[in-house]
Amino acid sequence: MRAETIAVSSTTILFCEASESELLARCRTGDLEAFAQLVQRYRDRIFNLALQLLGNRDDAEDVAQETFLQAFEHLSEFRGDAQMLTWLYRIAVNACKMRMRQRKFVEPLPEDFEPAEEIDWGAIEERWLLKRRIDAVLAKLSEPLRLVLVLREMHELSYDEIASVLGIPVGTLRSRLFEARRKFAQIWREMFGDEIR
Amino acid sequence: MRCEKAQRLISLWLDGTLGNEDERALLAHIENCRHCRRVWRDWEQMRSVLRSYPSVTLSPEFDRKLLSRLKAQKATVPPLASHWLSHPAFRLVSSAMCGLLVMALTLLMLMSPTEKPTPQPEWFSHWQWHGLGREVVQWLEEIEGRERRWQGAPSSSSSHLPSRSFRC
Repeated sequence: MRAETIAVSSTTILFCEASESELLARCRTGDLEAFAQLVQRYRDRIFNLALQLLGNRDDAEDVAQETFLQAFEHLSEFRGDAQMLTWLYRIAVNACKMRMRQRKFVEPLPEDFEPAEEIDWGAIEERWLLKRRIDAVLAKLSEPLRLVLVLREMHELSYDEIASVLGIPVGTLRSRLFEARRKFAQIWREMFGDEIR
Repeated sequence: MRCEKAQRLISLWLDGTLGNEDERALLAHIENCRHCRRVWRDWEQMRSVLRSYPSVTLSPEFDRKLLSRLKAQKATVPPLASHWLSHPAFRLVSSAMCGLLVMALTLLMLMSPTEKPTPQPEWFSHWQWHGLGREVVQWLEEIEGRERRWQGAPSSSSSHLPSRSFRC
């Protein structure tokens, strides 16, 4: 009952500033309320990561659900030597990889998409257009290059964090990042002209 | 410096991991190479474009759905037990104990004799223990047979002594 109250009213959670280690200790005793607080902290980042990697909202929501369910189930395996967020990223990336292999990157909107009347299209047009362009270029990158670029440039993870999430050496990561940048710029130029903007 | 090397250094510079010496060499190359200057500008622009990607917020429905799934998951496996059972130390110790048990059983099987001795009747081992031989048994049976004949008893199937075939 208490867990439900906390999970549903996010305003209550905002006033609860328990540290991550405190929350984790409570989670390990099966405390759903504490876990709900952790979910609130990280859910949007995990969801956006999945959305950027998969390009589909339904799949991204499924991956986010799956990530937190797996995290709760395997909480005893989290040793705390890395950040909770890095650990969650690792679970989410693995779930995304599974889906990426099952299906191709899907652009979020069909070509004939018509916005609803209440949307102020003028205000968001530029950002939306940019988002679609980024999605289109990301869709053309290979899975390893897309992963490093999204984690580094969109989620601003450090080299060590990305290496830990993907389970690759830092040297490999450097090479992949270089390749991903070169490829992204090249595809952008081919698709939309000279300038990246 | 070749353009390929310069572009690798640009990538490191963007991530803030380029050393001072490499940075000086890169700047010297950039001054004279229009192509690499453009690559640098493109990649910086790409970074700002990627970081401006609009982020999406999840609806409260996500929380409700997740909470109900977590409750169902929690009901399936008690958290304390699952925590204890899935603890790495417990797994290590239980695996080691299983291994030892298997080794002990294997050793026991190897050390035990392959042919079991023919089971002997209780009376036979008792007599053997007391140094009584086959002759004594035969003598006792003869006495018993004689007694039966005197008493008009039926065949030896009801006798408390074992049949002849048992003795050898």
